[in-house]
Amino acid sequence: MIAHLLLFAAAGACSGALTAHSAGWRAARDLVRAALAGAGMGALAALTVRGG
Amino acid sequence: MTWASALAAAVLVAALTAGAAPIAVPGLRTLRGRVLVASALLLLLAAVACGDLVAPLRRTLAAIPLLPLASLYLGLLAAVLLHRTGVSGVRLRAQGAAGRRPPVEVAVAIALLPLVLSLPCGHALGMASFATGPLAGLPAMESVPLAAAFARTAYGSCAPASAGGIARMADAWAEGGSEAIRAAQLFALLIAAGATAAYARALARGGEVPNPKSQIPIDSQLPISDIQNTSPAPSPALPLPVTLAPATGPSPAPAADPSPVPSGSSAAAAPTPVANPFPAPTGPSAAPVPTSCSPWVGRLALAVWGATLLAAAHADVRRIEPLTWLAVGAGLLSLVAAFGARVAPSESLGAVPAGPLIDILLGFVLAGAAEAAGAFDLLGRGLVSAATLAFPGPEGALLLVGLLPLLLPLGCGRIAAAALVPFAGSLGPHGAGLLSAQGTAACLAMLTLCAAMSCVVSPAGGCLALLGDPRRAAMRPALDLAALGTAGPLTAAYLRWRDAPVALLFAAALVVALHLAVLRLAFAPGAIRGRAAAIGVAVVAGALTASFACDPSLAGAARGAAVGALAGWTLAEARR
Repeated sequence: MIAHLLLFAAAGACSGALTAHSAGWRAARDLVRAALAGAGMGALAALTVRGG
Repeated sequence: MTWASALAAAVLVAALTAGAAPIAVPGLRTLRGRVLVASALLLLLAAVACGDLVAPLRRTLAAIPLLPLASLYLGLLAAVLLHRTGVSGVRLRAQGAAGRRPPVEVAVAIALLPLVLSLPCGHALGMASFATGPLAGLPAMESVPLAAAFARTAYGSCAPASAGGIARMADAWAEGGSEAIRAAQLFALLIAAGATAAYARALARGGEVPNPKSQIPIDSQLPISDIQNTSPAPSPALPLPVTLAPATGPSPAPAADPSPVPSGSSAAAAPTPVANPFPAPTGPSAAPVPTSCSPWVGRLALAVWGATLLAAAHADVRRIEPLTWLAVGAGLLSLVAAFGARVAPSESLGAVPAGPLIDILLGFVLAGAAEAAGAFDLLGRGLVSAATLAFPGPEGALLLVGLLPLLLPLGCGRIAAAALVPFAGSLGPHGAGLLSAQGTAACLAMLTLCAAMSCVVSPAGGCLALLGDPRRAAMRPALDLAALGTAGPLTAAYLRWRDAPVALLFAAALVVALHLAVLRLAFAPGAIRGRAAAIGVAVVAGALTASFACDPSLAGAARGAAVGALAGWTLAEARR
């Protein structure tokens, strides 16, 4: 379960940073905050599926 | 009914891909006219082949899925109510006094929120959000990537949704049910959101969108204005406090953009202005938008609708259907609007635009008629037969079955998914045995995810076609490219390495890196954009999907890349 959450958190972090960078946030601090937000959303989304 | 099926498939393809072709008959210039004529032709073909008119008609009507239709209606109603309670004003006041950007965490959370909510249809969230504008009010260069990422997750989350998701259709064909497939789709969607934003940025920066550095006036992003299929003229900084356009009387139309749209842009596909989906109410019942109501009314309305979406997504579907929750939430929202903003329920119901509902219904009739005439049957059988040939082989057939909903996007992916899932399943051990159990699961995951992802870009009732959002010139190709490039390789990688997270993350990083390389090459100054990007993305995705889903081999990867190139070229030509 922990590995499942971490996996989706990593995917969310990657997505969050990429989205923020594309939307114009270029500072490293902003990208870190975006990655953390993305990781949180990814972990929350992981709760909706069991992982098979 | 082989000849009738072949003709039906041709009619379906022509109806969905002839958007850019000049048609001499004036009545067929609009998509609605084309869809109507194509549906009538398909029904006629089915009737001639069967010798009975009632049976195909009954089959067509039975194929219409009620969930997206009702979800769209309730989403539009919620959009009207949220707008009337002043949610847009609340949002903009929260951003500060100079149209400042929201915190980056809020932007990312909004873009990925649909995946957490995981609704069985994206319309309830997507329509309300685009119409009331949680993503509006930003400068164009920032709002386009965010809006595209949000659209990708909202109109894609219906595949892995826990309650009534499209992936559930694969339950009977996937070993162990669809749990692993849903997880794979969620993993792919998470990364697809970022990829969509990157593509949208590249398309906007590369000149695919007129006036990429302009700020879209707030009124043009709100649905109450006359949204034209042109980019608005540059405007100064966002005026605050915000003055919402009045619901009565003519609303200001954005100025026509003098710069021509490139021929490869999807904006050229619909030369006629998009009808305003939220026309201003007229007559004695028309009332101005209550801009002076307390901000707490808007906040309460937003909280009610948020709680409704949460309940619809995560409630026990065996006890209460998601639609019931949405209907109850819309009723509560009506009460909030009635008591807080003095908006009568009859006025709210009367303000729901009928145009989007008619469009999506016509799209369903087209898809149902195509199914009744055997178009999907013929396409599925042809793809299964092709899997036994040297080319495209099983890898190519896997890709073609999976990408077919994306190449022929319908107003809702459920019909194509329901029609094609048996053919995808028959490629596996329970059928022809051309794919392994894991390859079959990858094919089913790709098919149902592409079906879910396809509805937003569909000309027949898709979200972008319904809204007429001026940002769609960059959003539509970005949504296409991200779906093409991530749905196959990432679901296949997840299903192959879900027990080895490090290998899976490495595979995902490889997919992202290759996409970024394609982005850099295809959108470099002087490079050929549009078609080159679609083909490049599809070649990479095809080779990776074939390698991840089947036993890796050079021949298999080459077949996957060749089929991917074909699919990319078809997509680029169809969207011109």
